[in-house]
Amino acid sequence: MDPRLLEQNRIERIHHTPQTSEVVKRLEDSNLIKLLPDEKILSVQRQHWLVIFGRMIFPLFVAVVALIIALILPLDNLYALLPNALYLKTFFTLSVICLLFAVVIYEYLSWYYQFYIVTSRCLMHIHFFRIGGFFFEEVFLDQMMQQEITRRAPNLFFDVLGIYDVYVEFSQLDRPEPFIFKSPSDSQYIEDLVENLTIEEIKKKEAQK
Amino acid sequence: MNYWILIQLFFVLVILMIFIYQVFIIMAAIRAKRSSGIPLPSVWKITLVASVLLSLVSIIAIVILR
Repeated sequence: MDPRLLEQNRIERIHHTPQTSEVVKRLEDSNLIKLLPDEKILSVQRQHWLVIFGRMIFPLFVAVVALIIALILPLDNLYALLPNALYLKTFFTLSVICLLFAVVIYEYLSWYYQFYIVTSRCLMHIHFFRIGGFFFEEVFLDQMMQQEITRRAPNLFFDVLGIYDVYVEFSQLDRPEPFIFKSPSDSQYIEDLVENLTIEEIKKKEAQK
Repeated sequence: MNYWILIQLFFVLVILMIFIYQVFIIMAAIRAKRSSGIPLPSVWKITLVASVLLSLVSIIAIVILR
């Protein structure tokens, strides 16, 4: 069998799981993403799940340290200053737990409703969950000329785990800043896909000439 | 005793701010669900409601406890 076909089958097996297909179907049905008749969604990816872990680790650490300090703090010293030191500890613990819940939920929802979409014609970054409004970034591949597609690790930890950002750079006149896929769940697949689309676009333009 | 009222007020304000933040989170989640059509997993729905209730209960507890 043709190795390219084998690779395509492998990619389809990975990226067309029932869960992903469901997300694709719902996004196609939503009014936000308007696809042209010959356009189809090729890939929908969230950020890698370790990204949430990375964002939550600092608030979790601070909360745990604060709770440990609050719980091991000797009451005798506080009793000298305040009559209700036990209540004070309870209030502090409740505040920390409430704040922790809020931060964890916010980070999860932020990750859950953020998608990088590659269609046969454009690249999209959609952030549905935002307190300060909705974020939508779209780049039409047939309108711009891609110059470079690179993968860079945002930090050493992600480099070891093989989680990369994908930078799609365009000519300075078209778009000075690159389109960045920040730590997608499969950066290799995104890179290959954009590369193939670029080649197809170049072939189309050459055929038109 | 005045100090104690100030401390209570401080904690009530802190948790009230967290509560307002959670209300904004809920509003943003509803908006995200409507625009994307992708429902939130039940576990997270329960967690979200539980966290809001916890904030409310905490505010009431701080006001009541003296």
